[in-house]
Amino acid sequence: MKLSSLPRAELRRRLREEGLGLSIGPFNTSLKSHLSVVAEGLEQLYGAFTLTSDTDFIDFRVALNSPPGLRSWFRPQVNFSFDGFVPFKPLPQIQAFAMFEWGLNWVIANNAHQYLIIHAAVVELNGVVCILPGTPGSGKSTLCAALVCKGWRLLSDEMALISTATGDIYPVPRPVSLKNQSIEIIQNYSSDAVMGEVVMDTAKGAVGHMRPPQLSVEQSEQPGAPGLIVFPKYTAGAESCLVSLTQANALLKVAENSFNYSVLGLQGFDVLGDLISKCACYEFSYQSLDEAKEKLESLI
Amino acid sequence: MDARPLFYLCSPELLHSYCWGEQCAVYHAESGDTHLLNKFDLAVLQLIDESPASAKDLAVEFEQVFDKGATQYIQILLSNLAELGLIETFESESAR
Repeated sequence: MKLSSLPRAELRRRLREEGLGLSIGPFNTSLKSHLSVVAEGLEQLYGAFTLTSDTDFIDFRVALNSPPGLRSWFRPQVNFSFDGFVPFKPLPQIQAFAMFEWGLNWVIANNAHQYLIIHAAVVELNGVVCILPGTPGSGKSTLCAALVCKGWRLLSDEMALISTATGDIYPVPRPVSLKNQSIEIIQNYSSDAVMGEVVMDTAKGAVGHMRPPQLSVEQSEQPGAPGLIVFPKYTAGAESCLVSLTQANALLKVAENSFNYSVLGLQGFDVLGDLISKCACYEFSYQSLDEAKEKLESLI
Repeated sequence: MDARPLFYLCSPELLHSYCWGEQCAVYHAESGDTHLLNKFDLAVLQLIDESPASAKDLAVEFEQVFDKGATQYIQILLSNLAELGLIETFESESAR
């Protein structure tokens, strides 16, 4: 059963009481919250996701609720908790849905060590997975959003999950996080882009999330085969430029962008070495999304 | 008889590598560090792994790779590898 099939009242009841179970890529997540902004965000962006059944194992139990005391009423705030542990300081309650996304990123990055996890957007075209590692501000999410609006499959806008057992890349096709000018750029780029509420004045500026393509969500149990690693860099005023990167250099750069390379130790090195051996690697500076799309498609 | 330092691998079982073309990524499991070396540098490490060697031994061994400057290159390389914690030295009395 999809979340979109759940009546509004039942969605809110589950969030308040036993927790709403969602299948998100390889993870079953239970979310509890009494906040309407969370329920609304889920309705806008998670409609295509499958609900877990009562017998499914839940990997992550998270909650978004108001801290106790006066802050429930005066400048209300929200806390994110994972199995009862509160890893972050509270945020303004209006940012609760964004905090769910950020919190879930943190939970996966710190717990899913059956994968080598790279900070990267991951997309696929014609059976070839393209990993786009990038530091904040590199434009990876903007490029990722543009590509998936034009037919590429979304595996993730935030993390590449590389199975330590098989080397396959597992999708977690959640909403694409866009910041500041990128929100308007993507809204103008494609009429298919469906944005949730934009929240202003977060630590990252204005933040909005784009709904993941329905087909990508439906394919979220199908891992992909890696073929390309491209380090994108948005450069205003520059023509797009694709430069080949040696595989040894690419390994070092990818390791720098990994959440758990050092946790996995030698296993991480072996998984990464195998991954790099299967991929052509590039550095890519771009300004125009259309040009970038064309250039990347020429590599497939 | 002359005393000269012999270089040896600190923990050969903890050194792992992937090579593509002339470049290699080398993982040192003891430190958790990953290093970028060229294939020649890795060959030097492998030779030291087979048997501890002095800078002079290595320069002789790889003399044919260089037109000139083997000794200088090897000395700088050994110093760098020692700094990375991949190799160490001990003093050896040698009749050679």
